[in-house]
Amino acid sequence: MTENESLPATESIEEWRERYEKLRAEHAFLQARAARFVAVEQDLISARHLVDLERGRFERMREFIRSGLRAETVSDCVRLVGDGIVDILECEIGIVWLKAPAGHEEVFHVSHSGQEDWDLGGNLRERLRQCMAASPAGELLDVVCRESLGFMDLMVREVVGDDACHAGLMVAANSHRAGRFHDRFTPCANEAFSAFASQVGAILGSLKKRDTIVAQVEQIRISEQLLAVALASSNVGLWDWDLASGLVHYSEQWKKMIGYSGDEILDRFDEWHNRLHPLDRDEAVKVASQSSKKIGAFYEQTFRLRHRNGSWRWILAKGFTISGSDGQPVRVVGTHIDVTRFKRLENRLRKSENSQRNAKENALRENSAKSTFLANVSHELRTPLNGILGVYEILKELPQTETGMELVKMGHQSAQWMLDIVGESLDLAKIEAGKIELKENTFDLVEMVSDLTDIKRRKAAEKGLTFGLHVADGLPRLVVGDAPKLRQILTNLIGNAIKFTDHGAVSVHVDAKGLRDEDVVNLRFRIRDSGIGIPKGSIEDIFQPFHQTDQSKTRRFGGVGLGLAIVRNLTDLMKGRVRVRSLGSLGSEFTVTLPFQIAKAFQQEVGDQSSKSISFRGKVLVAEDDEVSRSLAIRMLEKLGFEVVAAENGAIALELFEPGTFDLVVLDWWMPWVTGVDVCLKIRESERFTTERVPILAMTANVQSTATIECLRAGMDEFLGKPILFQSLADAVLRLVPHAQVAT
Amino acid sequence: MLTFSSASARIINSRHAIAECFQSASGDRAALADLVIIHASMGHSFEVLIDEARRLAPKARIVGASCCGVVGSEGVSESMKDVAVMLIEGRDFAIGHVDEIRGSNSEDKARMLAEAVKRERPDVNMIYFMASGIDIANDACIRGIESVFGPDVTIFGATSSDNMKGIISLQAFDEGVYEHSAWMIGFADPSLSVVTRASHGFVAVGDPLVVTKSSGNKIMEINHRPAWLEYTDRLALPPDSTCGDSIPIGALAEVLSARDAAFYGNPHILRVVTSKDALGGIDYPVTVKEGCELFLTVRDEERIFDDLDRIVAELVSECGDQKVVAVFHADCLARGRHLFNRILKEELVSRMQGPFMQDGEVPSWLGMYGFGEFARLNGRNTFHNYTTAIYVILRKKD
Repeated sequence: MTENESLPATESIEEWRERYEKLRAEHAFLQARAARFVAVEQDLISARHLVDLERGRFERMREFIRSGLRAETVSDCVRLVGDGIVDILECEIGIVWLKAPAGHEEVFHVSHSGQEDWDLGGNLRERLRQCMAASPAGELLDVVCRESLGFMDLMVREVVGDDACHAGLMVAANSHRAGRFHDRFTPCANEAFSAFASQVGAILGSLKKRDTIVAQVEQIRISEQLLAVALASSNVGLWDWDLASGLVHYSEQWKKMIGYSGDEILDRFDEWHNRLHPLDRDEAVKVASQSSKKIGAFYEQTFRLRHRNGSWRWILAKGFTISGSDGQPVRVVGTHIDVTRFKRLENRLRKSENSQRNAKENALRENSAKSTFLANVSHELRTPLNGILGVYEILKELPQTETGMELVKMGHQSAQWMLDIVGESLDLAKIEAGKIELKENTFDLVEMVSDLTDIKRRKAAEKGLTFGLHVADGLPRLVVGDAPKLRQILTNLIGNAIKFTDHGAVSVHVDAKGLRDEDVVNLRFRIRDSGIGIPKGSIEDIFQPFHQTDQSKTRRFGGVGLGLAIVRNLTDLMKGRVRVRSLGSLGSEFTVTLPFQIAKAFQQEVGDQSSKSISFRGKVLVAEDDEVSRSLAIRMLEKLGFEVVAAENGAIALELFEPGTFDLVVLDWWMPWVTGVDVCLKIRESERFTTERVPILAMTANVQSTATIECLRAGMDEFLGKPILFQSLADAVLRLVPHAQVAT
Repeated sequence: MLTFSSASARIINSRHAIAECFQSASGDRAALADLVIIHASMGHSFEVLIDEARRLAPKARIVGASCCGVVGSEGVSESMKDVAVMLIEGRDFAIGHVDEIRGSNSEDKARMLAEAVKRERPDVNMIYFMASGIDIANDACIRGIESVFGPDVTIFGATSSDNMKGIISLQAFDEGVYEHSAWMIGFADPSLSVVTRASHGFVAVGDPLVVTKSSGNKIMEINHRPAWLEYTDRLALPPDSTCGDSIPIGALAEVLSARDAAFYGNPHILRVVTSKDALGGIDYPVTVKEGCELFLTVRDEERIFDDLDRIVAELVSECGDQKVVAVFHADCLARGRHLFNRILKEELVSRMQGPFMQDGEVPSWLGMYGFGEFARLNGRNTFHNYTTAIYVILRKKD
């Protein structure tokens, strides 16, 4: 009501004015209250907006976390996280900085609108690194980094991996330029960022695990594929026995193995049990049952299963018992392999082995007989021949008429020739019986060849032949090998060359065919003659035992035809090669190639004093039952200057022996009743409690290695094979009693 | 003949955002666009947005404006990283731009802009107008445009905004980005027409704030007191408050004529205060005369929804059987998250989009949360604040 309106009859103007003012005041008050309510309402709306904002923030966070978990790579995840920081916190810049995990590079990503100038001077990563290195943790870090990096607003959070280790940093920031449009980070934003950072650590851990799982799953898939291929291409059947239910799952391959497929065989234990061979059933079931109780161990057995077609298949079964979570056996899984073919082969092999065993036993028996024959023949022939040669040697030393000397020479030659034939025969027998063993010693190649050819040169000169030795330059002087075998080969070849040459020359050429490797050299020995040559058709035959190219020549040139057979056999034994080239009427050329190891050092053998004369002083006991051999030994030892006491047998030798009496004991290996070995053993026993040890030298016609070993085991110190050569005896004595040598 | 396609997204990187929107809007055909309209929040880089748009649509003219959020056929989003685009194929348009448009020169600048567009396309039949939302006399802009095109050419559009900080707003025109400019699209497709409506749903309350001293769109005194002081007193806000504090609760209502009120469905039209000066004066969005009575308002949620339903129904009725080819939409930023929670906001948007769906699809839709809206009121081009303004582009039936 305004002032112009009519007043109530009962109200005065003053009363009305008063009421009006009162109403105006109330109106103003209500208006102010209304305005206040609007403001409060707006505050409530703003509060609701903040709730919406926070809820929206966490919904967005959840979306980003889900996306992060689906990210293909860590880099993709980091990009999503960076975008998430900007979106969730509605800020300008989101930085994700992951330190380099093992095998990966450091990841530094900045999410922003794409405006070029946000970096505020560039090299943000380095500046942040310096800032972190110099800054404390917690809220102060936010402040320090904000000011150091020149941002208007900034939050830093650590990313902690699932191993609780520092994995990196997350940064939310607003620059001064853009910051005027962005709200300052509130405590709610702070909390949301912290929550997001904690989730990011979990995401990265999940990604790592997922990558590992994916890789492992892929490996498993590949393994399964390979297994499937292997099983499909092999003949391996699988079975899986559930111990609780008793059911057994058989693979298709298992069924196919015995001619079945699919539902023709059900998952029942009986399917296996009822097909077992009656003879195998009990054992097979027993083994399977017992093994099912042993967790973690493989078992294996073979048995026969009946094939669909009625035949029996041998099956190799393997099984492995698996336990449940309570540690009790729950399953047995295993394989079946059809080994029928192998079983058949096995039977055939067994039969073959039996046959071979019998043949071997027969061969051994034959060999043993042969060895015995060799030993006997060796001894029976060599002993008298030794005596004959020894006598002739002594006769050569005695004054003779010219005729007498001639006769002695003839006799010596005959005996020597006979000894050579016996030797060759025995050598061939030994070679064929496998009795020859190679002895490897270091020797002077040039010296050996020179010595040998010196001997042969004289023989050649006797026939008016020219003899030449040509040793190539650069050959290794010292080599390791069986010198005696080599000497025998060369002796036979050179001997043949001289024998079959009436006019002209015989030459020996030694060179190296090349190094097989750093330590082994192939030496080549070429023996050329200008003799009768070899007919073409006989080239291979000449290496056969007892072969003569022309039987009519047998009487003219002598020999029984064993030399080249021995050369071939020894060359083969020494892993070499022998070839022959016929030069027709101009002669022949034999080439032997043998590998020898080049000696690293050469130990000069003691006693190599073949060109020097030596003399000793001392007392020697000789035991030899053979009169001729005994006499020969006595003379040789006396010639060396020793006082010799002789015994006819081992028993007498023992009676004569006293420790400390003799400087040397020489024993024949084979003597009746008390052998040389027996004597040696007794002597060594008597010395047991003394400081004495007399050197003992064995002599024997048995040149087999078994005899040598027996002598040495008995305590003998040296071994000489009969016939004893003076120089060999002198060398052996010098080795055994060097102190007894007298200076000459 | 113009064709329209639209898309919106919330993506951090500006380049990716444009690429995503272009792909969603028209896929490979994006490269054929002749005109690109971009609305984006302040968290984006407009330079990067334009650069990427240029790369993807090399022959297109590009215009854009900053806003507080976007509305698209995908829904509504109010964040710092929103982008919405409308791609237009066809050459039936002309565009123009003026810089440094302010309250004091709004009419002249608008006229210059209109003249430039008309020179290029005299047959313009509807105008999409975007101007800076800070320090501008929007009614003067309308006068300037109408002085060239006449009052019958419908002007629809909005004023750009930031995220309600009232600091700056941005406008983009081809390769340039501006803070106090205006651009205009003059559509000249004879097959197209536009119908517009706006509604606010607020209620005026209390004693009026009387403008006792003003000049153009500036109010120096209210009730003989410094305008900002009186204004904030009435709002029960401290004098050091910002426009950000006053905008949500300080909508000012002007009384409409009875006929306009009947058309509007509300006896008042609302105005927003977007900035203040050091002397306590405030920037008003339209020219204001001394003696003008302004009322504070309160929001009526029920009325807001009812008024929205009403204008949508009226628009649908006006559409008749014509095909809706696109919808432009401007919403006051104060009606967004500062008025409604997310659920209600989505409800509002669905109520405005639903009735326009064709074959289950929302038509191409480009909406923004800005400082003000241009829409016709009772047959006249009018500037509004605090409204939802919907502009439906129709294609006439053959």
